[in-house]
Amino acid sequence: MINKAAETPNQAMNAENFQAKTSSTDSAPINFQEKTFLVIDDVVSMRSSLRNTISTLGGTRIDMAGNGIEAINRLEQRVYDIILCDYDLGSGKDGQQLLEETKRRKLIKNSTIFMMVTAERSYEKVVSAAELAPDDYLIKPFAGEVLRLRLERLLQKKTYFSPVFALMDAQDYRRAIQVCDKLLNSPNQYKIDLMRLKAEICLLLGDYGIAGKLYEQILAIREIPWARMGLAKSMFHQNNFGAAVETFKKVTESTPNYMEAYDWLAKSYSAAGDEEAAQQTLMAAAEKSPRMLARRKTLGEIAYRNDDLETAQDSYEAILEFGKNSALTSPEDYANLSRVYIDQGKCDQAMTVMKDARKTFKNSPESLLHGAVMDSLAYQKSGNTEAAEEALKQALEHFEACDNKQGSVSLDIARSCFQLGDEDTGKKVVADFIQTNHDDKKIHLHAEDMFRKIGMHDKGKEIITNSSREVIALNNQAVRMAQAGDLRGSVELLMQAVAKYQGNTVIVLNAVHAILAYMQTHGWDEELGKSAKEYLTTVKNQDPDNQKYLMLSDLFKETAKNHGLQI
Amino acid sequence: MTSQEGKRQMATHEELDAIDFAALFAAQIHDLKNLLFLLLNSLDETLNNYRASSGTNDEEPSNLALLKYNGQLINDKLIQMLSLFRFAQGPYVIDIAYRPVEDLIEEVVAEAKPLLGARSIAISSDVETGLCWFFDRDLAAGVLNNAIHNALQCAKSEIRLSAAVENGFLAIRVEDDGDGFPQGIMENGGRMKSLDLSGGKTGLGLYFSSVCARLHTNKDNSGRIALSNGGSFGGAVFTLLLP
Repeated sequence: MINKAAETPNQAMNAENFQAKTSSTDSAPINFQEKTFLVIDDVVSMRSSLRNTISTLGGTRIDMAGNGIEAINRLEQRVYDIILCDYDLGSGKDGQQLLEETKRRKLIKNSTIFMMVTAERSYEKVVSAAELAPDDYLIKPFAGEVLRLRLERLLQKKTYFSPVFALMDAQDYRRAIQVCDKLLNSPNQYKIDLMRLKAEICLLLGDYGIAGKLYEQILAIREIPWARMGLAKSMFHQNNFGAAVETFKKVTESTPNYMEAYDWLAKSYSAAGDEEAAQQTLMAAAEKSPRMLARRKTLGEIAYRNDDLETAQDSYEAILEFGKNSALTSPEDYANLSRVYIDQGKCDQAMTVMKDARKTFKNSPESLLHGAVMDSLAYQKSGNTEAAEEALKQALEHFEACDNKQGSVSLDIARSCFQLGDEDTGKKVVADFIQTNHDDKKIHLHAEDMFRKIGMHDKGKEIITNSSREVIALNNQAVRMAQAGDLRGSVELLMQAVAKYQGNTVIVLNAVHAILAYMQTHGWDEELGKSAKEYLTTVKNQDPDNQKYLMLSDLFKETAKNHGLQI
Repeated sequence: MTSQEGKRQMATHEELDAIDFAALFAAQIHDLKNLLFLLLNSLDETLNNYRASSGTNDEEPSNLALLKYNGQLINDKLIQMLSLFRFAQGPYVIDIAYRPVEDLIEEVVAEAKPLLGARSIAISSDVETGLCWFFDRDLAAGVLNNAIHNALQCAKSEIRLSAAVENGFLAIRVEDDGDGFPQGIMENGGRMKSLDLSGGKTGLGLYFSSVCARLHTNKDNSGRIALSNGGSFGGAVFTLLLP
């Protein structure tokens, strides 16, 4: 027990008081003069007011930004220790979107303090942004002294967690877990935070059972929405979709503003095969937060597969409407709306949308590709076969030249080919698409739906199955070779497969795995090591959170270390 | 009155009727709070300049402290009204997290300190180091600020904050050495029916506190406030109980 000394303004620095301060770890003085600050607020007077408060604390290195774009520019040029950001930033991005972008682009480190400043009005949005939350938030008005106390505690917390963060930044997740365990051994105020962090790392690494147990332990202490959410995620990943649905539902009922829960609930319904319920869930969520474009897109896709063209149209129109004048839309969003219009028989509108796309994206190769293929489908629908064939020809030329064939464009091209009688090209395009994504269930669903819509359901299913079977067979052969002891043969087969199915993340990672297994028994090989590193970089650029990638990245470092190499 | 005038008045009435006053007031209170924030910050700045020029660190002119104190009281009331409005709009998100109780107490004491100079009152706290509990920091701070500001009006020389776990509840006490709560407030304080909109004091602060306490639930228990007289100083004792 400590007794804080009575204090009046006239005896502020008496001996007893001083003693209380030093015995309390909370009040470790921090030299704010060394810290770099970024203040983000759209109101000039608020900005200068915050700057004054910071200088009262002793801070001198203070930069200011008036909106999200300015803030990003600042963050690209300099590393800040402490960011104070107002939630309301006027017409552009809000503080939460800014936080998400900076985290996604890794413009701020785990050790950076991101403090959201909010008015009462936006408080709920800040608090319920549970997925990517700021380190702390302050409600205006606040006293300078409170800001100081909060920053001191956050710095203390960051210091406490710094060994874990450092390992996470180095993607050394196994050891990060070990450090969490060590810290959890001694009782402390961060116990719940530590359990949460450990559970999140476990989810990242695919240790779903352990993650689920941790969340259950937290829930036994207290019902907390993010813990319930984590438990539900662990159920989902263990393919326990029924239980996941029930658990996510519980979160949406108890915390209706926890928007991420709706997305996962819909995902669980989909995985359990109930597309109708998935659509209803997303519709409820879209109504609550209309500007969340990624969710609208998923809703559009599900509604389109459910043949609810009206809802699909609403969703895709909303994306273009809300995403206008921002970098948030892509030509694919225009193509999605155009496709709905075509199915509705509104061919003129379908073509106008693609005209807009070309204009918006200044005739970028991607917009020309999407534009040509949608035009071709629109001409077909309106009976102008000649123009349709011409547009398809153009589309195929753009398609050939395009390196990055992501998304639905392959299926649109294939559809156009099949409908115009060029079955061979259609089959090839679908096969390539499936072989690049042979284990992506969502893409299989999209492809099946496309075939169903053009009356080729059975035949389409055959094409899809055959295409993925080829990759699976090759992959299995490599596994068998490895099991039979022919590690070198397995490596060669998979490296050939990488060359053939470029962009297939699963194959690329299996090749890395084979290479590492080979080198563990036969010693380090300069060439193979280089290839493995290259493959890992490819996947990192496409899918940095891929679990198998994280695991193999760990293994790569370990293997290199065992052979005395510094990577 | 000509019928023309009558029509115009009617039109004005209809227009005013169409305004959603609850929402309008909420938005205006929000703006008032932002203005108050700027006002209090420039006051802090003035105090700092004063300290810098006078070379002293601890003493400040009592008229400025009084200004600050009254500013805080206005802020309290605005927060209470806005919060109650938000609770009523529902569903209200409450951010209950596991936090050190000491930090909470330290913060409200830090906020109260600049106000003490106005009335030469001492404030002290007694919290076990390392005591952590589940609570919504902003709601709890709002309740304690209100209790401290009430105590500042009644205390003769001392206010004391203490926290301890009692029967599965976190009990945070604000005690003063004043004359204690009047009987009427002790019986009905914090209840809806004690809200007296016609008199000078509305009792809004206590009502707000009791709502905030009740929003804290854990399994079958929910929070509450308790008012009594006596305690270590023989004055008023305000207790916030959180499950």
